Amino acid sequence: MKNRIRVLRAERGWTQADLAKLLDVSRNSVNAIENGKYDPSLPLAFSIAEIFKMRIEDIFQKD
Amino acid sequence: MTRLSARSWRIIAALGFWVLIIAAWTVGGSPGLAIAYTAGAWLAAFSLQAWRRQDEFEKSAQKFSWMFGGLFGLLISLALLPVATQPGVLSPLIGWVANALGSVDPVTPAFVLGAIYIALGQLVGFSVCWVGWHISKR
Amino acid sequence: MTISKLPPWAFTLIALAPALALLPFTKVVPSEAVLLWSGLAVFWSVAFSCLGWRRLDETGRAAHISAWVWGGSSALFAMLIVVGVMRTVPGASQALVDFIDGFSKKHPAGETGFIFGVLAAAMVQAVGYFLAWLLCWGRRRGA
Repeated sequence: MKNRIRVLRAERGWTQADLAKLLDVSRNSVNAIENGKYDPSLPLAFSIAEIFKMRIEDIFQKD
Repeated sequence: MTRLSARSWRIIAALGFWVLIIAAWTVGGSPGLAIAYTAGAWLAAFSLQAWRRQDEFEKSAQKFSWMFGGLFGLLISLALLPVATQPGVLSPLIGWVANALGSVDPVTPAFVLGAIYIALGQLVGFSVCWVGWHISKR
Repeated sequence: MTISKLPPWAFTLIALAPALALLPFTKVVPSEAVLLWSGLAVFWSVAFSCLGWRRLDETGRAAHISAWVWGGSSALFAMLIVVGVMRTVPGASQALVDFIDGFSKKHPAGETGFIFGVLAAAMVQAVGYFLAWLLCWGRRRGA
């Protein structure tokens, strides 16, 4: 799935490690999700949306 | 202690396991076997704790690797049976296991070795797949 | 109905058919023929398992993966414990030794014991995987 996480993260001045800490996941996870190599589970997708204060569909798009 | 990372729990699991295995080997006999089982229980308990602390990305990696890498390793181990059962390969290993178990009959250590062979084949398959999975997700 | 339209469980049955067909004949058929048939059965099982996998949906695949990871590895772990207990309890492993010895007329006892260890570990994992999968399936259906 495509997503806007890298852009949203950059807008807030967060590193991948910062976002990983907020989500309680590894930096590798954040990197893989940003690059579209790994699709997060629904609970994690909701956590990501909560952190960015946006809706899931505004962050993730189908390929 | 419960907030230790998954990596820390894995280190505790591995270090403790090997220390106990070396102790089991040194002591030998039935007490050694009891220590070896303690090592197994230690590894299982702390590996489970590490699993619980892992994020979903790493859990996916390990599940995928155990399923596909492990199964592939199992198939390769079965395919390599004609090589593994050559007397020059098998007999020394059976002798080594027989010494470790203190067995008199040749069948029981051979049986144990067969089970370990399959487990090791899957472990190798899992490891290769796990590395490949992480490389593909960069 | 073309083969590609068969449900996933049908592929499982097709995959297991050659292996199950061999079981009643292992003691009467020459061991070389058993070995050849077993090898072919493994290839057959892998091929039809792959076809069945492609017919599975996401939930089905997740169930199989969980079942193999937890059921298969727990069963293997349990088997290693049982073997160790057999080793320590006097006379407990004699039944196993006598059973394996029955097959080792033509081959050295060590080689036969090794192959039985391999097969036992693989079969124990398969049983553990099947039981875990049944549990996943039952939970999914709300049983």
